Amino acid sequence: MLKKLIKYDLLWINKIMLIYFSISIIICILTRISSLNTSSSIGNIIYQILKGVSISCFASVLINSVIRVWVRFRNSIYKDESYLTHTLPISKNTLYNSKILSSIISILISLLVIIISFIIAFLNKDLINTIKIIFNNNSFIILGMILTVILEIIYMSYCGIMGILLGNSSNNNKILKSVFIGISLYFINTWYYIYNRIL
Amino acid sequence: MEFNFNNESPIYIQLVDKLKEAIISGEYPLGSKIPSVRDLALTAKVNPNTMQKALGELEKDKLIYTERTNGKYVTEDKKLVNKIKKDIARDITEKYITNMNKIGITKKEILSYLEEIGGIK
Amino acid sequence: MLLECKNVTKKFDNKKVLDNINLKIEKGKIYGLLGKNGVGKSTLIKLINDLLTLDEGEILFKGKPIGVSSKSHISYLPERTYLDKDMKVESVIKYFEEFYEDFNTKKAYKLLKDLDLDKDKKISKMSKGMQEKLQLILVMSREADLYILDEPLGGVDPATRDYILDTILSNFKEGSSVIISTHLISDIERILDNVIFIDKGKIVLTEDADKLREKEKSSIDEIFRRSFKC
Repeated sequence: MLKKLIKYDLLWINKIMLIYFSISIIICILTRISSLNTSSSIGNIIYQILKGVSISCFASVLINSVIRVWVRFRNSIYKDESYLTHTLPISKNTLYNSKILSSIISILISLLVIIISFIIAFLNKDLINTIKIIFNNNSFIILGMILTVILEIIYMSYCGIMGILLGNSSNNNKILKSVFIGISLYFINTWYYIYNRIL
Repeated sequence: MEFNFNNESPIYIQLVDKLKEAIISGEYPLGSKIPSVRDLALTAKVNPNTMQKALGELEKDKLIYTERTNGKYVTEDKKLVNKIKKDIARDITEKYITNMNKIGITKKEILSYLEEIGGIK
Repeated sequence: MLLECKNVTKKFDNKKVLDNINLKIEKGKIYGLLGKNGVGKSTLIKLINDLLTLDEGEILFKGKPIGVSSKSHISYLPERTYLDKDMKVESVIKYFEEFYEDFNTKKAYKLLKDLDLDKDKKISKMSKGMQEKLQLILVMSREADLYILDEPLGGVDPATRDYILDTILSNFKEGSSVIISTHLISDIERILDNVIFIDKGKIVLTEDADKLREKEKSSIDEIFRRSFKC
């Protein structure tokens, strides 16, 4: 049951994400192509523009995947579809576990696409060498940073989910409360962490 | 078996009457096998439980009988069927006469109606 | 006893929507849960389907409290459309097949054909009436022990209403029970074994339909009107 739930969650989330993935990869391919033509001034301008566009593609992929996760959670647990979700022969634990797992998998897929797009657009010998040097001296730190970024994004998505959960327990202004609670949770925890580190 | 009925009186009683009609008129001939409860219920568009109750009443009146594994059959007792036919005929006639009396029609007038409309001399 | 509600109470904002409900549902019977709008019919149904939690009392399905096991044997048709509208008909049928062991795919496709519904159509592109028919097909294609239909006749034309009643009659598994909740009593009363009158969160009456007709010498619809005159 858990696998099936995750499957349907992923299908729904990534049906639209596929569009963003395709756009990102296409833009990155174009960026790579234009990077070979930087001799002329027009060519250079095009390359710079495409560089900016590809970066915004990455941001867009990331933001949209988290938003899709949130919308999927709200639709299947609180909107009309919830009549189907909650009457399936599954335990509450299975249901919420599937949401947690499908959100992690979706975010990881998006990060993977971003990395692949980045490689398509920007990877060259110089960059590889730079990375190798940094990595050799500080491999643990680098890995730690990467892990932190991933966990931070997942944490952000969970703050949103928590906001949706708590916001929907009241009878009115659900969306407003969800957004407010989600943002508050994120910042309170971040500031609390920073506060503790400073002291 | 076309079946129009009202919601004002118990459905199973209306079913009993309708089935009796079918047996008497020969729609379900003597000794023939009648469809299963579920099939009958679907045709009549009623609840199978209600149909079961109606068939139970007919079985009590010995108009149908159940053969263990084969299903339900119409009785072969012609005398019984004729008696039921007569009973129903009397019933209808009684109602007819009462209704005619209600609107003040005399016996002679009843006879003239029967002649004119029913061709009964 | 297939389903038993014992002293069921449910409050919304400290107001009792259901007050000490006691109900017994037997196997193999069709029940009409009849009452005006807003008296607690849907609330009771949602409680039975684990969509709401009880404040007091208990609900037992085949002797066990409502949970995963009861949900695999109860087939529920809610008042609203609960399907993912981006899916195609075919995909939704597959979805039900995957999650419900008792789902009869063959029957579902047969009913689709009977109702002239296209399996490749996206649900969002179907009219509301067609969506409701599709949901009815999905619910009745399950070989469940208990079918609970919340206002199955609402917003449908008379010809479709007849078809829906026929579909209910011809498709519920032998030995299974059906609970139909509605305020359109005259359309539905001919197929009911038992009627349950509910008003202001309390059960006012439970009785065999024909016995009630015999006793009061009128239709259930008429009896209902008399009992709940405004």
